[in-house]
Amino acid sequence: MAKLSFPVGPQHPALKEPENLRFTVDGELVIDADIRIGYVHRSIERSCSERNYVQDLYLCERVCGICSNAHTLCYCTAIEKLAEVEVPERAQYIRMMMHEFERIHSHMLWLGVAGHEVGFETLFMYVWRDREVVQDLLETVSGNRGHYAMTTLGGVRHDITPEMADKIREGMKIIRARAEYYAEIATTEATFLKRVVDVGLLSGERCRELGAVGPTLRGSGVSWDIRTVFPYLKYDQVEWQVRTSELCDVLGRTLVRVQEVIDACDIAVQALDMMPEGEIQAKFPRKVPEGEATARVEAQRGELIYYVRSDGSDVPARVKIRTPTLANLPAVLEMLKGGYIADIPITFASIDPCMSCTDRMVVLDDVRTGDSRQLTWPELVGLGQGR
Amino acid sequence: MTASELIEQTQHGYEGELTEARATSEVDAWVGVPPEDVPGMARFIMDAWPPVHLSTITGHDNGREIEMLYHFVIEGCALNLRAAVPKGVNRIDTITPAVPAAVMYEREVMELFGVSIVGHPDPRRLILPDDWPEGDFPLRRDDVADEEGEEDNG
Repeated sequence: MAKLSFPVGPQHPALKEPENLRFTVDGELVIDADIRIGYVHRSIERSCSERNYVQDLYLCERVCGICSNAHTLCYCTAIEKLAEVEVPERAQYIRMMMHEFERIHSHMLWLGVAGHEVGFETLFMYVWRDREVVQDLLETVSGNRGHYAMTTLGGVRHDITPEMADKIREGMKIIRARAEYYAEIATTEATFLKRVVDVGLLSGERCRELGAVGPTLRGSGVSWDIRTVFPYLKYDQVEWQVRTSELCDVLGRTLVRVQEVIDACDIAVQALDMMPEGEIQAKFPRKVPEGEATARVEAQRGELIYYVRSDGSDVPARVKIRTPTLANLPAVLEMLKGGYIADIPITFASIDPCMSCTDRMVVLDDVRTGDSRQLTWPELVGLGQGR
Repeated sequence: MTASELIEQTQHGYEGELTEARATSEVDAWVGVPPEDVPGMARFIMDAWPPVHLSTITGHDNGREIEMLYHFVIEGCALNLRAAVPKGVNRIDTITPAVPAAVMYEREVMELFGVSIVGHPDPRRLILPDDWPEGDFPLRRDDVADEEGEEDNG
């Protein structure tokens, strides 16, 4: 049969975010896959070097709506390293707890999406219902369900009251029990297994070679987690372990994530138990001493790295961000090859892709010819204020 | 392995010239090489301490040069390899054959900074739109040197 190439996206019902995948198929088999990204490029790195350190905090939080806390945590860690500011103990435990809350909500969101991608809508409905428990906790602690604005330079912005702590303990119990139930479903439910076993296969060795990170890497049996490679916050004080699966397929990645939800509940409760009384924020200088630093955190999708360079002023000379999805793209393209067309959505979703990596605003002047132009900043402001 | 051990082993094992070798903490090592030696150094790193993880490549325009920073992770230690490409030269050899994980990061630096990465297996655009003007590189700051000059005069 002749080979056929076709595009999927940037706008497509099977994709939650804009990206352009190009597939070459032979019958039902995918023989080549390629990707174009940048449809949500917002020039955040450049903007960061035009705003001061505090303004950048809000900008970095908005790199991604799902892992916003991981971004501010990583950004603050890099700058605290440069400024040599010690974050108070209590704030470190609160940061760790928020970090794990975010992992819970993100992994549960992913599990729901995975259920949806394989046509298991009941799973999607159940998981998203249960996810509300952690969303409520995030709101209780920070006041927001997303973009919590919890982490700030030198500490955190809100303290945990005894009432909150009680609510958190109760919530963690519920989530933990539900996650255990989902772990059982994922390994026993035939309709789910038929769609995920031996789908999107990639060996651990190849994952490492291609630079994959997070559950994508651990689902292929490689025990590599920034929380143990470069222990930050209090991860060396609490009891937990890096979860891996030798299955190397979509099921392996699912099991790692579900197990991580259970672990996250335990870590959050331990953080509550171990949290000492005290300050939650250290005084932070407006200007940061000259120098450069990198910071890495294990965001829910994998290793997130920030590089920050300071020239001694209150504006960073360079902020570089590498999100986990970019690191996982070479791996997922390889997973797609050799699979069936019907498995494209779940295979692509299995790395938990997040395309909010970076877009300018483009106006389509003429739909027929496709002529487009970019809006200038004053034009954008004019449009906004004219409404 | 600590950062100072890593630097020591690099100085002993690597035969080329090092322009920089310092540790800023227990786990942060910074090593520099001339840009033409980057593929050789990348090969050395990959062979000396497997398995090596490449986190990303940072580009930075410091006015005179485009600095390339390759962020490696080796056994719980971060090795940041620096090479400064003068704007007049504006080219560096690829490390993708030695480090397959570099493929996307090199494409990113190429289109955002306009450095040609010689021998890259797939030098297409990654992020910018197809109709983005040729020769316009969003993170390049060719204005920086001029502005600094003006400030000195004023």
